[in-house]
Amino acid sequence: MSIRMFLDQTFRARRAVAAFLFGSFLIQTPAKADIEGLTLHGFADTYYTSTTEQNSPSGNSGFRLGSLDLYIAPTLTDHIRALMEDVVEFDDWYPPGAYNGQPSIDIERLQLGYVVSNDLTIWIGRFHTPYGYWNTAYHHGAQLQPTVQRPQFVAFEDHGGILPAHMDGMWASGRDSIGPGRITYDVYFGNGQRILDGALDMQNEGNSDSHTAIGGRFGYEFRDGVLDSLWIGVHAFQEQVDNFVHGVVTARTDVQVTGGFFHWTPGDWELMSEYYGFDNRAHDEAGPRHSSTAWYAEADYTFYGRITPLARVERDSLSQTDGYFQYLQGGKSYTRDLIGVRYDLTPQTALKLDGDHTDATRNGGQAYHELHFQVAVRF
Amino acid sequence: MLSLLSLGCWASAYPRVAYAAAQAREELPAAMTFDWTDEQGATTQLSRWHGKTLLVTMAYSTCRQVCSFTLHQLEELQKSADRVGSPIEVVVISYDPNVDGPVTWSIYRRHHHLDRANWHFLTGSVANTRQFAAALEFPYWRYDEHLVHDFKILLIGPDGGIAKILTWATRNDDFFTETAANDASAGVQGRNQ
Repeated sequence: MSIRMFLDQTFRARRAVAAFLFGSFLIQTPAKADIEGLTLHGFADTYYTSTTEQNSPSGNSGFRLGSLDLYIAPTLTDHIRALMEDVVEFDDWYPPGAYNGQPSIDIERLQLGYVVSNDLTIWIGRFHTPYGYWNTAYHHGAQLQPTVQRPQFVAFEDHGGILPAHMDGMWASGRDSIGPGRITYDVYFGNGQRILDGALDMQNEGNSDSHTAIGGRFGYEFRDGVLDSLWIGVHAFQEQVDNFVHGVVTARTDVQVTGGFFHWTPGDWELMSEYYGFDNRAHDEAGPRHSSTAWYAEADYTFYGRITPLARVERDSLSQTDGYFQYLQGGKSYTRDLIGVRYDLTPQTALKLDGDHTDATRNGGQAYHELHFQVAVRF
Repeated sequence: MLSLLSLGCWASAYPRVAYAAAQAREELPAAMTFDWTDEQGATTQLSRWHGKTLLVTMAYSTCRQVCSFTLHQLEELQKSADRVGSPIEVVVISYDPNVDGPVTWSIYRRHHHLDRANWHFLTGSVANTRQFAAALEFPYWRYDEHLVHDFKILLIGPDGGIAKILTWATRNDDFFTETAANDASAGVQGRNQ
């Protein structure tokens, strides 16, 4: 890249960030602030990482910027809702050599919803795919989630995740009281994902290959008895995912995922787990199916609403003969054991310290230690 | 430049906060007459406790950080009131009527050992909840399933007026020192901010 091209890129990126923030500023002018729904909220975080991993795709040791997450969710009428979440961040999972050191602006969610009843809302747009617990519980709000980082395999697509965290399509979501609790249900379909440069791409500008992703999540939330607050459920989705290299399809994989999850907060405890079983097969061949699994389990306890020690284990066993994991940069088996503590300095500010040991040697990776210290705020 | 623009996003919210603060005292009488449902399923209003000293806050049962801290501080204030012999009523109003209700609050009280008879956990309609929170300056916003809010406890005197406000900055203040108890009984109008 020439110096001139580099300077052009740098200028364009900065101009885009400035325009984005200035637009946000205009939304918050006092004249409009009293109109319900135009209030701007969000999250921001920054952290320090120390890692023994060499040539890490997610960066080296040192201070790092997390993300600036701006969130607007106006209720337009009693029945029509809108939700917009834009994030400025450094994508640390660029393919080797492509990372340009500039922040990117992602429209993480842009969904318009029709509230059919208290029990059912139908959304269209780009949303967080409703599977498991984490993806639709914490979204991009670093200040809300207990740990510095998401479980690695649940990470967003541009941070090495192996699941389609975002979906462009339609989503029906609801809940209904039954017995001592309520059932929860989510059904969705949308543009199938593809793999570009080693990362999942949700095809925001149209379904170029006409593959449709379809899935659902069904659960039950106990609201009484010893199991009060337990939300337990199952999830499944399927789609065809093609891998592209320089515009040419090098692999087509039928991805089929089933699994389950739970989240439970008995008293000051919080317990959660998610499991995903992959049963993938090459689309063009009558070959064997490739089974892979990924799961995590986490427990934490909050003292006085402010101090939360926690522990998490992650286990990821991914078939390297599967065309899906073979081409995903994050598609390598690993184990991770993590302990940490969260301290709520104020209601708006969380300090988090996590340490983990990760072993990715099974597929030729490294074993390493990481330490993260994060300051995360909401506003 | 970017930092200044970012700061502008937050700074522009201040006039609205100040406006809400000025409204709070005027709107308290109306807020005292909103209908709520208590843990027994009975309809009640805050005006029911007119003539008594009230601690009022908002919380929701699935909140694990700010609400847990708020309830802990309420317990400390209860102990303090007991020490000086000041009878009080403690009222917790749900931010989230879509989830909370008589059964939910009953379980919550049992799990957190909040079993005193002078503590009341109320739930109302979505509209009443919004209006009450706006009138008494309990700002909150929804981030999908999360209700994001701050720490705040009101001390309402026997005359029905706000005597003191506990915010994060004054979270360790004790309403019920001898002086505070006397002031509250006399319905002194003053803000602890």
